[in-house]
Amino acid sequence: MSIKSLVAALAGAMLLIAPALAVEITHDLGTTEVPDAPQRIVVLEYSFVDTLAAVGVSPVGIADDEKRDSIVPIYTNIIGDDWTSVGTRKSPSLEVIASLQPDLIIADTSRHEAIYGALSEIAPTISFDSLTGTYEVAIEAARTIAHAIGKDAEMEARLAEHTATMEGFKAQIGDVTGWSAQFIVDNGEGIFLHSPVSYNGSLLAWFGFTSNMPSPDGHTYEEAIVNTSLEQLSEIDPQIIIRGKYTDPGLTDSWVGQPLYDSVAAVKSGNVYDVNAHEWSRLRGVLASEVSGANLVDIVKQLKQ
Amino acid sequence: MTEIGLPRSTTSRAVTLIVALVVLVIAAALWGISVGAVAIPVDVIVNTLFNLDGEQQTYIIIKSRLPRMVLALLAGGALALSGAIIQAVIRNPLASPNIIGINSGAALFALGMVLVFPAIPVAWMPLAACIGGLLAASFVMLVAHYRNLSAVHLALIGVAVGFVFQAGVDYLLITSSDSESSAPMIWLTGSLWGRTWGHVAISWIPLLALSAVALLLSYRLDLIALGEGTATGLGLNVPRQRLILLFVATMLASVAVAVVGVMGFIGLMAPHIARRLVGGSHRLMLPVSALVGMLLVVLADSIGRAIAPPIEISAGILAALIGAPFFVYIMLTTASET
Repeated sequence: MSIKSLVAALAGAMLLIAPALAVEITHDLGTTEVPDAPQRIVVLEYSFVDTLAAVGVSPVGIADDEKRDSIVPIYTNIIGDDWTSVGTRKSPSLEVIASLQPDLIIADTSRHEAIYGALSEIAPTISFDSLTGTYEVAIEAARTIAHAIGKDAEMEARLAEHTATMEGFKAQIGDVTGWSAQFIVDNGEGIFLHSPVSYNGSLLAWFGFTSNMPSPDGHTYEEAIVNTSLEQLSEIDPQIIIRGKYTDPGLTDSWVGQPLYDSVAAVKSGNVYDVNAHEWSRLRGVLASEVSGANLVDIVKQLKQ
Repeated sequence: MTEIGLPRSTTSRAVTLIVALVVLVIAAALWGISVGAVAIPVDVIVNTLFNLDGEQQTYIIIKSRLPRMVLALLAGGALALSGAIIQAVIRNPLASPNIIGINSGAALFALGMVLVFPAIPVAWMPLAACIGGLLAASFVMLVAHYRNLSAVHLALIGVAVGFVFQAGVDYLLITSSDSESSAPMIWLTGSLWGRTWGHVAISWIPLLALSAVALLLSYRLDLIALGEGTATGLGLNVPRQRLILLFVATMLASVAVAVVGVMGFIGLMAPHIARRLVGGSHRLMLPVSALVGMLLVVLADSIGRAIAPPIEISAGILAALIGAPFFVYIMLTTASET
């Protein structure tokens, strides 16, 4: 703790010595000059809330889909609840963003590419692939964002802690290379498989689980989050299903008793585990992955051969 | 002017009506600038617009709401003019830019670009939409022209081509799970969200020029409206004029659809409302259509922003929602002329 505060104090002292230095940030949609240590930050995806929380910075505006509790306690414990909602992540309100007079906007590449120009007119905007990016991409984006807001030291300290936490989970989980695991979202009308190139797919791979899903070459939303039928699920035949249900009962519950569903390896062996759909499918980043890691430790404890 | 002059009473009534519509459009546009996710008092708006001392809201007024209003006016007018021309040329009250395949052609190309070629920057979507609309409509027009088909056959071929492109759109929508990345979906419902001066810059010259051409050609529509035989008898090369007029209408609608998305209602209904207001003479009906189209889109965009901030409702949805009851009202309260 004392080392951390010392580092923070050092970083703060450095800021005082060299004030008003803009940083050039290279991101998915170009290179943007970000003014020194921006104070009023608007974020348009949850994973950027995660990043700011990781370094103890509160955004002034969040595209929270008009649901304040979508910003879960692991974040609000750090950033408080003073933010202004700027609308949905899909189509945030440019006017509300502008009215907050931000000095930095953090956007999602696949969601906001079309309005990047409009956002840049409001404030310097940096954009990262959150929606279709992997765990590694999320961590790298966190590093870049921390650099943009002058919090490199805080982020490096938090990432060191993060690595230790994740390695600890990995050690508890043990060798799972013999297990194929699949994260699925069930929204009551359809199921969506998160493929190996998705955030959750890459996170499971990081812990050593294998995937029976083919890994696509490209990296589009359809390749990351695959809308799937029961037939396709039974063909992929994972040994562990990690399920996030947005409705209860979900579509998969209505399949119970159908021979095709009951014969899926995970269903047959009783290895279908429910996790929080919001936390798993929408939240990505340093803090979110630690929640997922803790979930996985619990799941592995319950595994039935 | 005298050879196809209108009765004086009709003209003065029409002039009053046009003046009233212009006032309404200006009032609606001013109201539109004052509503949205952030409430801005009138004095701040005045300060900002005329760069006076005191509090200003430069971004929201000048860079967000003003370009949207300009685009709403341009696109609303263009779509209505396009619809009026196509209805006159095809001589079918159900005709609209949609009937010669513009909307579905534009939609297929815009969606296809975003979903099938994700590597292409989204900024190119308007161009893809414009090309798609032109391609579909050109096919219909050229086939009809070279085979010398009647207006009814042209419309039927247009509907058939439209179905082919619509099938492509449906296929893309069903096979794609990408409900998350919003640009094509919002565009499909017709919206002014996120439009900037950049969109105005690429579209104002073609839209204004084409609108002027459309208004200049309006007398030819009056001749065509007399029927192909009579028009030919009066010395008009009907197939050639039809091709020119349809080309102007197609360009108008394609450019408008490219910048504001699919707003099917405007091109179909604005001309009907105009016809009910001033009758069938295209010299009056065309400008009135354009004004009605402008009014509808400006109102739809403004209401869409005012209704549930900070969430916006697409102008295309609201245009149909507020325009249709108004249209029915006008149909029921005016004397039947068509």
